[in-house]
Amino acid sequence: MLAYVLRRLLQSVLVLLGVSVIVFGLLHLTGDPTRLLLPLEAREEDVRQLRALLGLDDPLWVQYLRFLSRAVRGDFGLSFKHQVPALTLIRQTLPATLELTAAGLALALVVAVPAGILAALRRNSLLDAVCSVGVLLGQAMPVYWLGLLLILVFAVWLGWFPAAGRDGPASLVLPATALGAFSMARIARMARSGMLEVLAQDYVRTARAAGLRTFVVTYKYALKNAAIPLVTIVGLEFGILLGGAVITETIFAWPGVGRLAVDAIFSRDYPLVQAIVAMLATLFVLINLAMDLVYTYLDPRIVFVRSKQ
Amino acid sequence: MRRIFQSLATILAVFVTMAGAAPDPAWAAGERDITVAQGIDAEFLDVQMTNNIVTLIINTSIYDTLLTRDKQLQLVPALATSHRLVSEKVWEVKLRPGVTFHNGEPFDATAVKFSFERIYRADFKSPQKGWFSTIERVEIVDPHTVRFHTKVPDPAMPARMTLMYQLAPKYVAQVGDVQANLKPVGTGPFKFVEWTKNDRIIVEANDAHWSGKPAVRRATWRPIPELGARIAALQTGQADLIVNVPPDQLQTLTATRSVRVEKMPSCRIIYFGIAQIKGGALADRRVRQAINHAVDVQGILDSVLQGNGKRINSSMPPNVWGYDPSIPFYDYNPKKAKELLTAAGQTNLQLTLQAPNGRWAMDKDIAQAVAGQLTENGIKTNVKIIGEWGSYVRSVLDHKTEDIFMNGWCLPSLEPDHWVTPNLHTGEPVSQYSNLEVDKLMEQARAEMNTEKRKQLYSQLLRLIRDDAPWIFGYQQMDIYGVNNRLKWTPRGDESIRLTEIGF
Repeated sequence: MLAYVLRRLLQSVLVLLGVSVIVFGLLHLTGDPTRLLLPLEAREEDVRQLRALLGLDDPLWVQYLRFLSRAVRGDFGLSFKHQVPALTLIRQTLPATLELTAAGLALALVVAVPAGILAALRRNSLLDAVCSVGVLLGQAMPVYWLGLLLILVFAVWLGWFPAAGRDGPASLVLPATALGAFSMARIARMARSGMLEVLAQDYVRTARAAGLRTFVVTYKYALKNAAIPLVTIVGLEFGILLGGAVITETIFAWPGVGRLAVDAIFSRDYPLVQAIVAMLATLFVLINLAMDLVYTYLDPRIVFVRSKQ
Repeated sequence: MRRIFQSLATILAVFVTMAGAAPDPAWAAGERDITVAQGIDAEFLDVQMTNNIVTLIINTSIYDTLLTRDKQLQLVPALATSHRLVSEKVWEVKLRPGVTFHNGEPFDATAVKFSFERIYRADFKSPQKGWFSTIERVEIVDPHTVRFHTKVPDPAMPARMTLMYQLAPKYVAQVGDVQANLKPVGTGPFKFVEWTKNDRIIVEANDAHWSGKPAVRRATWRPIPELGARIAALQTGQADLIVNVPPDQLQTLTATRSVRVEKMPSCRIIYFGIAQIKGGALADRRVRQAINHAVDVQGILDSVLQGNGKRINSSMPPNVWGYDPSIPFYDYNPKKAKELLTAAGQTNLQLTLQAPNGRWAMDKDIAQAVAGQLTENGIKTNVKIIGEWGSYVRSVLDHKTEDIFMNGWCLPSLEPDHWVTPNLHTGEPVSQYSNLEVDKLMEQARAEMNTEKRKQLYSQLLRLIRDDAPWIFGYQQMDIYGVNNRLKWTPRGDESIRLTEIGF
């Protein structure tokens, strides 16, 4: 088990290193940030001076090594645009994003898992049909459109929730719903098909034949096995939600790291983009690692098989 | 199975706890508290680190400048009570006595000298270095008198003084640049309270301000990037004043009873630069004139912007001193356009026009309309949309634009030279045009210390530019705001929002 965890950690470090090289390379391909930091009418000499101040005159590999050596010590440098340490900006905005993502995921789970399971148990019933339509809608509606629709209905017409900004729990409802809708649909679908698959298996039939009550069969024996693919999906969904937060945060003026990232990319704020990507990649890798560990808890065979390989 | 429920419950509990960690509903707005929603957050509250208009608007509530502009955009005293020309290259400025910064530090000549010199500190990355490049040094005459020594005679000095934001020297020295940005201290009509990045900036009235007590007690600046959400925030009373309402949304706003629309022709002009320096057909003045005659600018304004925009006759809007209303517009005249093209031997001209997407109100649509009319009138024009602003800027600054490029222009100085030199002088970063006669007139006008003569020079210059047609002369943008009816407020022609001009 320990060896497995260590190996996975080592792999994670390699993944992160790879991410940093790719992001660094891509960013520097997009062009010179000094042109965007200075006014349009700025003179060539001002541009040169700023380039030197920002350390952009050094060869690319020197810049990369400098970035890497600082990054491992937790220093991502000053944001070009804000002149504040990149990590400080992330520290200010990350809680809002985590809050939104977690709320979106929690909402998705709370609605989707019971809905999916019920739909599987009452296959081809009206409930199943309603769930299927819901899933279709959830997956078909872009966050952007759904977000504006929610604002129109629940903020402007009904006046139940604020239209934008982060002002306490009430303001979390609309963005979390918009963000969670897509995941909700996918999780419900997975829960339904996973449950159906398990319910068709021999041991379930055996359990039923042995006279166990349906409730016990369903929740004690079937659910645990149906949960395994769900755990994987939840891990992945968290990453997808972090990505989706970029759009949701923009629509709802949510002060999170997604908006910060978009802004940083458009202004070619190298240090800030690198810091955000590094942070999000780490988060994503760690969550997947955690999910894999939960996996082994749910199904001990998994570690066994992997350590044999 | 219990374990599964336990683990699921744990995961959920973690999520719910995190979700519950949100701040409490922050403010039950007082009667004279207001919220202003713009598209972006302030980049800096260290006002000397920015040239961004939205950022400057927010900072203007916290900091004062030496001179300022009233609602009619006329120069009026602020921290300077008077200014006069001592000799051709020396300006003497008397400072307002008895003014203190929000931290109690007195405002005096030392602060003026400090604030100027800070911008030019070698390790200080201020984008304002270009604003004051004609100034050689600041001399302290006495605690309430300073002299600016300029490198060349500079009639734009009073206009530059409207951009000289004053910082507290002792405070900045004590806390450093980073903290001065996060906790700004100025002499302005509002004191800084709180800044949550990308969420809100709160300021409260400075009742000790030299201009008197502001009617607004507390103001919150909120960045709401998405237009739909910004309009919704106004409709629901979450915001009292919103900016950049596009013409096609006016109906939505006028349908809401508690809200009104305010409009003002802006200092920002939108033009279509013709890349004369590329040579070929575009180097021929007749071709450029033909292009101007082939576009019905007024028709486009009426149809695409629903009349929200005013044509410009040359390269300056009426809000800028130096504008000459007697210069004629190009008339829409396809026949004349064809004659000019025939005379130039360019009857089979094919052009490409580049435009951004989402930079200015309906920019892409306007570009398409312009190209459509050119094509209709015998100049086949393709549109190339460059959506990413960084790439767009690069094409302009590298002088690698397409044949025609859309551009918008307004500098907060409102100094006439800043509309012509950066856009049209030979070799300037933005300029895709070169005409030595125009260059000479610009240089003459920006050094002319006699106001009357200077005005004549600009008139001459603008006429020359009009005739040589380096642009398709576009229009003055209309700034459109949505305002809650409880506010007494009308907009300014320099895109600024002054909290002190808001009443109830």
